[in-house]
Amino acid sequence: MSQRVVIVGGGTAGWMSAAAFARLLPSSCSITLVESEQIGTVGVGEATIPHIRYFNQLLGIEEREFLAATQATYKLAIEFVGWGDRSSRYLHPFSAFGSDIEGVDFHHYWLAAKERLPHLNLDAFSLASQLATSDRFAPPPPYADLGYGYAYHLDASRYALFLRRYAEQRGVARCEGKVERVEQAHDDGRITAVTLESGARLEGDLFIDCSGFRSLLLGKTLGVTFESWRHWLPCDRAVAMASDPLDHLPSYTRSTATLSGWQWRIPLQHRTGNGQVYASDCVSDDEASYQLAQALNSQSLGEPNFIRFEAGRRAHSWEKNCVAVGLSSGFLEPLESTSIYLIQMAIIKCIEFFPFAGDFTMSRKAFNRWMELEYDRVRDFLILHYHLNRRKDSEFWRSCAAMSIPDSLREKIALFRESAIIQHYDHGLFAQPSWLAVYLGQGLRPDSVDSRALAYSPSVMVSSLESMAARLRHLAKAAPLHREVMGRGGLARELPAAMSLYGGGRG
Amino acid sequence: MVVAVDSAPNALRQLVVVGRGLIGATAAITLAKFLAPSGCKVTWLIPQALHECDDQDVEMADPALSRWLAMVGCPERELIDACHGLYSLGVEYQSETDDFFFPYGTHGITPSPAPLEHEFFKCFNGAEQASFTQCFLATRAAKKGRFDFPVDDPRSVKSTLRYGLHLDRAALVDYLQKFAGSLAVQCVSCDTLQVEGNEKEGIASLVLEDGTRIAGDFYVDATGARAQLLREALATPFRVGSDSLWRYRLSYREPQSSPWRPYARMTRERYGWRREAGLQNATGVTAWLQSPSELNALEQQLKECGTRYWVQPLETGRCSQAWRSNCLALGQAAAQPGELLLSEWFWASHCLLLWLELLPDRANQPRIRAEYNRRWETAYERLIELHWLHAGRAECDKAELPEALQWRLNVLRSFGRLWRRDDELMTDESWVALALGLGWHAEGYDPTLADIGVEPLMDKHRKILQALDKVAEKMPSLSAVIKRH
Repeated sequence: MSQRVVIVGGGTAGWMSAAAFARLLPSSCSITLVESEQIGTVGVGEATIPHIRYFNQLLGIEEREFLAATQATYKLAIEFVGWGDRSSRYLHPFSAFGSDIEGVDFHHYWLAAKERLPHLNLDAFSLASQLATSDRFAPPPPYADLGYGYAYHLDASRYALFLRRYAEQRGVARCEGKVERVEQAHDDGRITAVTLESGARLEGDLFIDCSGFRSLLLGKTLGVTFESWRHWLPCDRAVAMASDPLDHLPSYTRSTATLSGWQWRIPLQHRTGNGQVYASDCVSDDEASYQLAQALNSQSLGEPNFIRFEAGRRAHSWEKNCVAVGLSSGFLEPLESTSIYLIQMAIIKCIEFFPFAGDFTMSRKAFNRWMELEYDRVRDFLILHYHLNRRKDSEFWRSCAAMSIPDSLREKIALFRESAIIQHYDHGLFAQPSWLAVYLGQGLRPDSVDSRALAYSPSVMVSSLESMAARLRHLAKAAPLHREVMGRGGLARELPAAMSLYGGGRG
Repeated sequence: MVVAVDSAPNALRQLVVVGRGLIGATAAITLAKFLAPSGCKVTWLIPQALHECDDQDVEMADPALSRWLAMVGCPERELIDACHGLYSLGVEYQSETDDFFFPYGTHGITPSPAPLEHEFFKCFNGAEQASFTQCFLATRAAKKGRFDFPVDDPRSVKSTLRYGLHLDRAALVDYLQKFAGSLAVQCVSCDTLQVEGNEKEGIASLVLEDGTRIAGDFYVDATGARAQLLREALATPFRVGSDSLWRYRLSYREPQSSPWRPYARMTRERYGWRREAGLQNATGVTAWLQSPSELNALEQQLKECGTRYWVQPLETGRCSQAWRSNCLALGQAAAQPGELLLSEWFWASHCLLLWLELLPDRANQPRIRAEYNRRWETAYERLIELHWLHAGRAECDKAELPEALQWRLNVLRSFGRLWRRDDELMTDESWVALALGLGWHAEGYDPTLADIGVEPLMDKHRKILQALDKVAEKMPSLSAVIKRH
């Protein structure tokens, strides 16, 4: 089981890979990471989803230590502002909405009673949403029907540094320098070594490409083509700008739709991360930067940072003996905070399908098949946000609503529109509660609901739903403010994490 | 945000189930139980002329049946008495080379650091990996003839148990028919039945021999392989599978072995598979055979002993869709995946619950129908795979296995991992246990075990077995459990 693993590129993807390999691969594997201080990192994924807790726990990282090192805060949801029509506002929490009633999904009952309950929107039936909207935070209570997941807002550069220390303490060798040349075997084209500008030569059996958008090994050296999804995800630029921390410290990420894209707001302990994602053929860099500055909720810190990208992925992420992790394998805008999740899945699958016997064929096939499924399912969910808009105030949104979408997504939307049923799948990141949040949040009106939801008398159902919502409001009110929890350095005791967006339960 | 439903749903009010056997009974009871509270009436038409099944047959049900009984409120212990039933903790497999036990339930051992089966992949090569299933309490108890019911407390190892049932199928159908009556199912017996309808407009009505016309909003076809509604009336095409693994199913009864065994037995024979499932008063034997000459030989043998038997020719395949227009076909009426390990009842009830999950209204929404047929087709493929898994080392060459199964087995062999998919019928643990027992082994294992020696792992397994044996010894015998209840 001995292998020489060479990771090209530091940053979030590089150091997450190094740390996980150091922890989970056999001691006979050597791990070397090469990075250059001259090359900046994009610092993807300041907002994360609950799976990161599983990753940290797998590595044995203490939450409080992590919070301090990365200036992280807790996150329970994403708020979407202006994504349906300009005035719409909804949360996508890391939880389900309500509990099934006699085998029928809760939302059918809510839809059936909606006209009698205009004061109770869907978020009233999620404890995570209730906590988020009141800037509170608490771990999920021990009742299965109220479970939820939680994640973090973090400083990605600090996270990379934190993991660098972790990895180096566990034997990962770091080489400073720029890769100048990549050597390939004459017989089969596999990568045999990388040579740095300093002349240092690093041989390896397996190469992990964490070189970011450059895709130095997978794209440039091995020539794996890039499949663009720009026709579905039209934004191709982002501008990021930090500002002072927010006093009330929200426990959610905010995503606000603009005329030609959207803005993020990510509250950290020491600053607020802000950014605007936009389509360059609709708005110039200067305009985008100006719009973002106008929208800040606190005093800006420093200059704007511009990022160019194109949505899509490489035809495959594992070619010969090279595995691309992170931006070198593909890019999906951080609308649902999936960047670090996709890195994490690539690392876990790389370990699960690790080619210990030296046969890369099965490893490559299994890894590529899995990652394609992950990317495609996340992609469809992101496209949904754009396609389902009801805005008439810009050509950008009108064309998004009119664009043709993947068949897989069209079928899902049609099913929900017809019957309020959410297409089922077991694997893939976003399950029923997430689809529901976006469908209803952006105003998709189903033509009918499950007939069993009408079996109860309207007054009984209304009273039952009102008491459910009241219970959640009561629990939320009793929880501490997020700011107070962070003031104490986080939770005193961390709960076990699950590889689930909803904390291992749907309730 | 304001969302309101455009129109009130037009709920189904009258369902008609057609079929004489177990699938019809199951459908009538399930629909009545779950839809009657919302005002839906269920009529169950029982055409006596319809040939359903052999009255010698034994229903070998996996734990899904006991779950269903609890769900519909059917008293299980009374049913056991009425059907001469026995409880089962799994299936013992025997072949010339390898024996193993396929347990129901779970082992309940938390990964530490890798999933338990990987420890066996590290410790053993080849067939010995199947000793993984020894770490289930069900296996240890069954081999000692012990049985007990699962408990709710997750701290108890007995919480890992699940149990199946062996029941006299004819008695089971009779019992369920009476039970259906108690749920206000309108049971209507008839000799013959004429179906009015066509592929464009669906089923219009059913006409009995005395001219009585019965109409509903929706029809469930449980008429077995004949598929009187879906295939005959609606002309839905049936696609024969590329190759039937076993062409005949032969069943008969033998005297019951003593003492009662809390498990079924599958034996690899020259002709195919032989299954024994015990009842209190007899043992039901079912054989799956490939060739006509083997069938003739077995028939001859049984004739010489004066044993009554029943032969069913098997034609694996499925209809192009199981739900068409206002008609849902269940069990063999929709498809014939075979029933080596999981019975027709399992397959039909799984599909019925899926239909209930989606539940159309009188508008009979086409997207819901498409979603059902999509998931039904997946379930069919999953079930067929289990049979290929049983056949893969004898009746067929590995290269003939369906691509999806080959892929799953290749991933298992290379990495010791299951390729995860949507809509699996079995838990991961059960699938791994079955694959290992049937001779599909892993060459790779979880890397976190690389730095751990074999001896500490085997020592851990010895301790697990000792602990399980201690619990199993204290469990009552199956006979004691049956007598007590």
